Amino acid sequence: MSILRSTCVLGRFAMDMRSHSLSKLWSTQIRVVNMKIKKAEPPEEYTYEERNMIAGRPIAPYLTVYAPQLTSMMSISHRFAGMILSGYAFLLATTSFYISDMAEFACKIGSYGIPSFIFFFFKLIFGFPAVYHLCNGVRHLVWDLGKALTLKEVYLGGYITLAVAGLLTLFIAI
Amino acid sequence: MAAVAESLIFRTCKLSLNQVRNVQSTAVQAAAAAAKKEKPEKLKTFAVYRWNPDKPEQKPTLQEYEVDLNSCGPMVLDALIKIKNEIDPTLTFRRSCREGICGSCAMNIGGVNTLACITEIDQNPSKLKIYPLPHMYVIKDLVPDLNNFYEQYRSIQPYLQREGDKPAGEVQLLQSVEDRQKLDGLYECILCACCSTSCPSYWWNGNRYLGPAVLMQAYRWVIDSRDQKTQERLERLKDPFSVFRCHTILNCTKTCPKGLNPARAIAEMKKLVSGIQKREEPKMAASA
Amino acid sequence: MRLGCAKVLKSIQHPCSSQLPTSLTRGKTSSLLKYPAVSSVSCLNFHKISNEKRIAPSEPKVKLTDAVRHFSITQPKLSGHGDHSKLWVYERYVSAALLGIVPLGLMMPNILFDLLIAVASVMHMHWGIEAIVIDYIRPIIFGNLISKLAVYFVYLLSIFTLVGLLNLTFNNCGLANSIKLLWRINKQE
Repeated sequence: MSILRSTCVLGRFAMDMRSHSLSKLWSTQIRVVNMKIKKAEPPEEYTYEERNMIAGRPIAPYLTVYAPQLTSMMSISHRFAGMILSGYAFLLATTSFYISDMAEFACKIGSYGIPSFIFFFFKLIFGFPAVYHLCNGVRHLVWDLGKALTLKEVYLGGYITLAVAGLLTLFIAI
Repeated sequence: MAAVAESLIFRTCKLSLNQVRNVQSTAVQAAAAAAKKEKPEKLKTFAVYRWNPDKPEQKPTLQEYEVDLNSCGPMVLDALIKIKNEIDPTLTFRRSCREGICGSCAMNIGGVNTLACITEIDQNPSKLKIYPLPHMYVIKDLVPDLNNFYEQYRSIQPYLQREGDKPAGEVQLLQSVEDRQKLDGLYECILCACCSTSCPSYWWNGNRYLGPAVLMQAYRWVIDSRDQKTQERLERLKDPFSVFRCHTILNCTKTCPKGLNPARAIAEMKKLVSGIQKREEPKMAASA
Repeated sequence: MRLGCAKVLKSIQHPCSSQLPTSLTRGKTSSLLKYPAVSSVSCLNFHKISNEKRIAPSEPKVKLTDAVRHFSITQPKLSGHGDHSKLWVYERYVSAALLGIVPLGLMMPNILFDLLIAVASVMHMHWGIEAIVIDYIRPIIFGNLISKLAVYFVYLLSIFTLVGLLNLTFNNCGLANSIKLLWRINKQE
């Protein structure tokens, strides 16, 4: 292969010698090409995200533009209430290591003489996430059975849940 | 002499007639002009999301356009086309059928995902905000990159699969009326991606969660009585992401411009995938 | 390579504007477009489509029906592995059980009900927080390590909560009693 190539190169050189004058000898470019055999590498694959990030495309706005709706607002409140309830459980668990007798602790707080409407107010605040999570949880279980999933039923169920949760909170706070 | 007089009279008559005609036509024109001037311009501001890939360092902006609703069609797409024709030809958006069947013009209008061609413009003078489909990579202005969406659709194998090697088209596949009714509300999906891009779960995990549109189509093929690869279809969806990132947020059903119910399809799908419900036997077997 | 990609991306027409003729597609994809069975789905086709039944070049006559059967499918198995379907069912059972256990346990405090409340609520809480963490602590933002660690952290949290609640049950007044005491705190004498 290389013999052929070098012959070719020489041949070209010879032809150039014939056709051009001596001064043009130096301008003749003889390039010797080295060919190396390399293993074929598979083309680089990019995921959808990588491609778009390489292209520098922005992501269209979402939370800032999407209109708040009963469906999404009740769903995120359900999640929020769940997180709050987990906080309660975690708090109970931690305090159990510090308070050896809950009854004694409760008596101590009770003896401070804090007016009862303040307790009523706090019971409303602390009770509502629990009651809301309970009522909406029932709605979720109904959906998991495949029932009440038309838009009308979802909205009706949503309003009923909110009403029941409100009333139940009042009931347990008193 | 008489001929001259005749021609003179004729010419005078013609002249006067022409004058009368001219007066008449100008009067008509004046009346028309007056009528046009009386019809007021009903201007509405459209704030449209703009981003130019040729100038990527410039952050996306909201550009405002004023459109006279009295000389514009009733739908948002008409307004966008009017803006493109008369005000800003660089405004870029997808459109095709202009009748709500192709799904090209899906975008976020006034905070909800719909098709621009079947969304009427609110006639009050408040500003209307138009954004591309939420949490999608933007190619230009209102055009999102839907390749991931299409790949996900392809991954559920949206075609009939039967056992055996009978070549397709040689045998009739019978389906009872009840079995065909199960597909109502599922086959009408135009894959506009409005529902998937309204789902917060799809925003957060769009690379692994299939989204309402694709899941509804997966369900459409699972409950098709003529399909015989149900178990394989369900097996492919058992992982924690493909179906189970759905937390019944229900934004999908709320936003579907065709009035379909992806949430119901996903709920049924979860029951089938988890095995607590089996697909009903086809009421009519295919002809031999 | 990356800059080249960006340049090509900018020069390629939008996929939906028209189907690019074969001559304009990049060298990688043109080989796929030669075969009638594989449809040119995306012009931005940098993916190497993992074909399971690619039509060999030696079969020149391909019927349309065969083409449909040999349709090449991508298997984007980025979805994750494991069987979550059974877990989903257990989650619903525990939620339903909790609906009955909590009111009953609060009405009639005793050690067995306290135990049931503690275990069921911690399981429910664990699955809920795990779902939150999986949804929001995404690898694309936080990286693979942190998202995995976050899930293990949820286990830690749940174990700690269970231990604390059991402590409340056995070494204290009892779970239901404690809740009732704290709720009626102003009515204590």
